[in-house]
Amino acid sequence: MEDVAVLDRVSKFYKGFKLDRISFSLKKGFIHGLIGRNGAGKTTTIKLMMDLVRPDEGSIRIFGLDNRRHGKEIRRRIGFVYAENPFYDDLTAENMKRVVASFYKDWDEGAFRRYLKLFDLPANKKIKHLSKGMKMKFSIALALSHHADFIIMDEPTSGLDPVVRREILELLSEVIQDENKTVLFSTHITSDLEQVADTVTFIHDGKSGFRFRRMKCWKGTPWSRAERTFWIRTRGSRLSGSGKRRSVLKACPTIRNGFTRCSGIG
Amino acid sequence: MRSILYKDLVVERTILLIYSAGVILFALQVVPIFDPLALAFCLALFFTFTTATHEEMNNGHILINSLPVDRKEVVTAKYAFHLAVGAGFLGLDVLLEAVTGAWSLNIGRHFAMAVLGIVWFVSVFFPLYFWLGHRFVQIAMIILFVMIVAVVPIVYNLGAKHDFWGILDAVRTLPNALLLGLGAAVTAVVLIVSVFLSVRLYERKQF
Repeated sequence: MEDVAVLDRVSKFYKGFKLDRISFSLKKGFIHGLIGRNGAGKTTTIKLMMDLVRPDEGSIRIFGLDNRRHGKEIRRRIGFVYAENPFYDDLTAENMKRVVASFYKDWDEGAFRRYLKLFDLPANKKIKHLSKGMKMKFSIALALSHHADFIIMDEPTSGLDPVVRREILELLSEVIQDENKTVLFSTHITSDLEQVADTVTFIHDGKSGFRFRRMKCWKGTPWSRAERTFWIRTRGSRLSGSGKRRSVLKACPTIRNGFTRCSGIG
Repeated sequence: MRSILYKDLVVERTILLIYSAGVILFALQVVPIFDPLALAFCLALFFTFTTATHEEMNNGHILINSLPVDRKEVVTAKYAFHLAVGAGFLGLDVLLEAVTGAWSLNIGRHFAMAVLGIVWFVSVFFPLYFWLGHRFVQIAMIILFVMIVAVVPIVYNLGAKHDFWGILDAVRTLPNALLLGLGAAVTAVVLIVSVFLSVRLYERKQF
């Protein structure tokens, strides 16, 4: 099974914080969650993947390419959503879209319009006049409108009301129906991951801790020894057309329990 | 690079229009001023400061570096945009002065020198900005403002009183073509070195 992203012993040192030899890989066609409490290193990990910050050690490969050497090529295939609004406050949503769209050859205006309608977003409103939830939805609409193969989202549900959160999570589930797409999203809300994530990588104090997988295993592709796997509660599974995967039903701890067990955070 | 220039144009559109209005008002002598071209030059410098502050306030670096561009393109587009805007302000002023018949005989020479001045400014500004960041912009903008408002008039008056210590006469004796050719050659070298330096600095930046 193809790896969309591979982080190999990636370290980043800041004053008072270090991301210490993080290693994990993300399989194509799944929703991957990155969990950890605030300040654990989730955003730094995502920024490293986006080449916004440079690792002090280790390597990052996305779509099989080195993310520093082939940044432009890689970012063409990535849809990004950040926790903080990265858009120009003074621009209307429509103008911001025009700016972003001009960077992508395969921009799908029809898809963008559909997302605007789905999210009930006003195109002529300035970004600064959009609520936090609306900004997040707008960001997601942009990320999904250029047929990105890999969607990276940093805390997309943080600070949003339960209705918007559910809408976003449902949308992620829809996106992933296309098996060529992969989603990575970070959060500190365990219930969000329980709803949609296929795998969960747990970061604690700058170290990648345990890895959970939900409801599925793949014949001939066992988990690496470095990973400790917790089966979590059963929810049904998606089977690929190839038939190589088989679902495994097993009673197991919830992500919340695993999170508590790993981090000692109750 | 075209997409980055388009982004800059859309994002800085309002500031661009306000500054252009200023150039027009001064060039048409709606607001009487001693030398409209000099003011257009100053507005071009302030435009660079204003847009840098605007970028910082909006996390512009995070957005642009998450899009499919490489950092070299981001830097070269910055230079291209600010040089084009600076030359545009000066060109607009010269055009309006020509229309109103207010231009002096030396306007061509002044225009060329002002363009070279903008290239020099941009060549110094961007490496420092990419190296020292937003704090540099804030401090340098205050310094520039104080220079223009307080220091430059004093030095100018002092120079005028002493006939610019003969420097202007010496410069005037040189043929226009030689002077501008030499100036342009040196400026081009400074610009190339500056772009190279800025690219290296920006590639090392983390957001």
